[in-house]
Amino acid sequence: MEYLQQFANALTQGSIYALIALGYTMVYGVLRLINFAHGDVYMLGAFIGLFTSRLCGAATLAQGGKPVPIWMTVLVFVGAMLGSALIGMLIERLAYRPLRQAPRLTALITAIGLSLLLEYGGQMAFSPDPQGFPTLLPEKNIIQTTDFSISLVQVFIVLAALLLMIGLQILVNKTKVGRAMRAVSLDRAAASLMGINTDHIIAFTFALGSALAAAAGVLNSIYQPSIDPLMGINVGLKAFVAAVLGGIGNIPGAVLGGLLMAFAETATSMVGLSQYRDAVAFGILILVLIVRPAGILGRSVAEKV
Amino acid sequence: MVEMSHAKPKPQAASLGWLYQIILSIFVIGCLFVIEQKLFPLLNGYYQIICINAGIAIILAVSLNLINGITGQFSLGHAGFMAIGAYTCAYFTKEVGKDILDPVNLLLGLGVGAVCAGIAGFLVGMPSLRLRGDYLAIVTLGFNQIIVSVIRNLKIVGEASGYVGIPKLTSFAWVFGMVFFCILTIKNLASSGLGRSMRAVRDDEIAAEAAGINTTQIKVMAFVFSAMWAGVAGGLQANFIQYANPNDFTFLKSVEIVVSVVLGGLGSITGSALAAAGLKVLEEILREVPGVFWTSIVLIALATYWGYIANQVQIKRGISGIIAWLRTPVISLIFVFCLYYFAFDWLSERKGSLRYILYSIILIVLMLLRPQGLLGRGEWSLGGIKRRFNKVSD
Repeated sequence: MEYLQQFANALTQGSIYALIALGYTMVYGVLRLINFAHGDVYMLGAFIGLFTSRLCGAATLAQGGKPVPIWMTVLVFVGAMLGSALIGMLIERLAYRPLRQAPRLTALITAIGLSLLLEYGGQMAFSPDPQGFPTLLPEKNIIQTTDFSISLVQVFIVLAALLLMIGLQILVNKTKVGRAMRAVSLDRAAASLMGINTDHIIAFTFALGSALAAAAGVLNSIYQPSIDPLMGINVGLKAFVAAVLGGIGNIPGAVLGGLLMAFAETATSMVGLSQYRDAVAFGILILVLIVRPAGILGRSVAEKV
Repeated sequence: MVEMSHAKPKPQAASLGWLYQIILSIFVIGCLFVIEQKLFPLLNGYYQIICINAGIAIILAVSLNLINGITGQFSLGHAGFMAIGAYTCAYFTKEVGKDILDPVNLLLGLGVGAVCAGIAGFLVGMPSLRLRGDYLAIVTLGFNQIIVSVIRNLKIVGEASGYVGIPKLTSFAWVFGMVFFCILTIKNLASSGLGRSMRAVRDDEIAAEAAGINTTQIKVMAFVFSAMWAGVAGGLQANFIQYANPNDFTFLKSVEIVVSVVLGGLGSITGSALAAAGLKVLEEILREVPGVFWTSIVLIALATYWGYIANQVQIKRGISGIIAWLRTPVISLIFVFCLYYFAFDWLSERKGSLRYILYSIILIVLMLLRPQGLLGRGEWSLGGIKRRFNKVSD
């Protein structure tokens, strides 16, 4: 039973990683850029969620908060996703677009700078102390036996993540915008020759990835209701590792990578090495890059001279 | 290009002769001892600490420049090498060599730290043979995090609460002697045949490989050499503050070193040394809110200047050009004034985060306006300054 419990916990954590990893993988697909600031967009999403839920009148558990109606929860999600999408587009417009023709390293350094700016700007704006996240869903267990329990929140997280992923899959594979996105990621110059406005598509990709990260941020805050401006660093790095593990640029790969990442972490905790959880992520990364740099589902591309 | 790998490195006109270098080293060490005995104690204790911190920052920045600037790889894990050097050197000086004469103890400790950091550099350099650019950056970052997590769980060096009771052996002369040797060795390396191969790898890896350079070997060597100096810097720091905490060697410390290298110019040794020292001084200025205010004004002025230069390249004439050029500086100037005027208390409460905000703004603005850094790949030398003055007087 303990295994089943750990499996459920890992699945919940994995869905959150997967949602963030999707943003990394999509941006890498269209721009060939590691968007270091993505983890901080996740943090901002959680904070926007915090403010919208306060506006809705939700309170934290310590303040005797009661679950809010479901439409309010949806409102919190929509608010956080729209806000983060806007921030993502702003980041792209102000910091990355002027560097479109610059060497990749220049863009990478900018991304690191942006990430620092969001983290410590967040500390200035929201105070560095952790803040409680309001209760949105009822705290009850759906399945409850003596040594096994699944809470409503966990089920909600997995279902919401699944819904968003299916939505993304449809958007990328069935719609016109999705086809344009795939074209840009295949060959940007050719796509622009075919009449695709690549700038719009790249901005749209940023918006989409940021919205998913914000959803992950709110989901995680419901699961572990304490948020602070530096919460995005570690989760962001792990989600990036997940994206590389699955094959960066590959959308199903990101989901697979996110789940595997969470399972690996849970397994480390189970064998009693929980203090090495963070190290495991990077151990996996180094191993993947040495053994199979293209990731599990990625295809390796020969370097052109 | 083909000749580069086969021809023996000829002594260049610019590089210094062996005898000259030995005499110079003795002279510099002598001077440092005199300064330590006679002049340094005259300084206020606070300035002494700033001085030594700046020296350590210079070693870190100059050594990172070998990987990031001269070899053109991108390492985000320099603090990891520093941590290894700091902990091994601290352990050696505290436990193993405590009965030996102090200077010998420190020298041996630094040696042990450098060797251990060098071995780590070798291990990290190995994956770099398959990775380039951003992937390498992430792997080195990951390596840094792994080292920090391991140290956090090592009982022998005090786990997460830090390693205490390290003897105080570092002094002014030690730090600046090491700064001198670090700059000398890296300068010599950069102007040797090996350095030319490193620059060839930076400029075009495929062409360098085609020209017969063993790019893997070159990159690993850059990592090892750079890591060794980072280890020395770590050892010096641990034996100066008599304490080592894993939290001082995280990703943020690495970013701090990268900022000084990028600011000074990727590939410019004097540039990164100046930037590292300058940032340390700036950090102290930023502890006070008025310092924050004046620093932001200076930064905005600099950005305006570079914006002007950039504007001259892609010409936009007339009023619209002036508006395009002045828009950002004017808006940010108004913002800074408002912040200072209306939110003084709010600002002074939160000035702890300001340092990293400043670092991030430096990175972003530099990449947008002057991606090659302040000095680019150029070096400052006395001769060069003299020549420039002559040109002005003509």
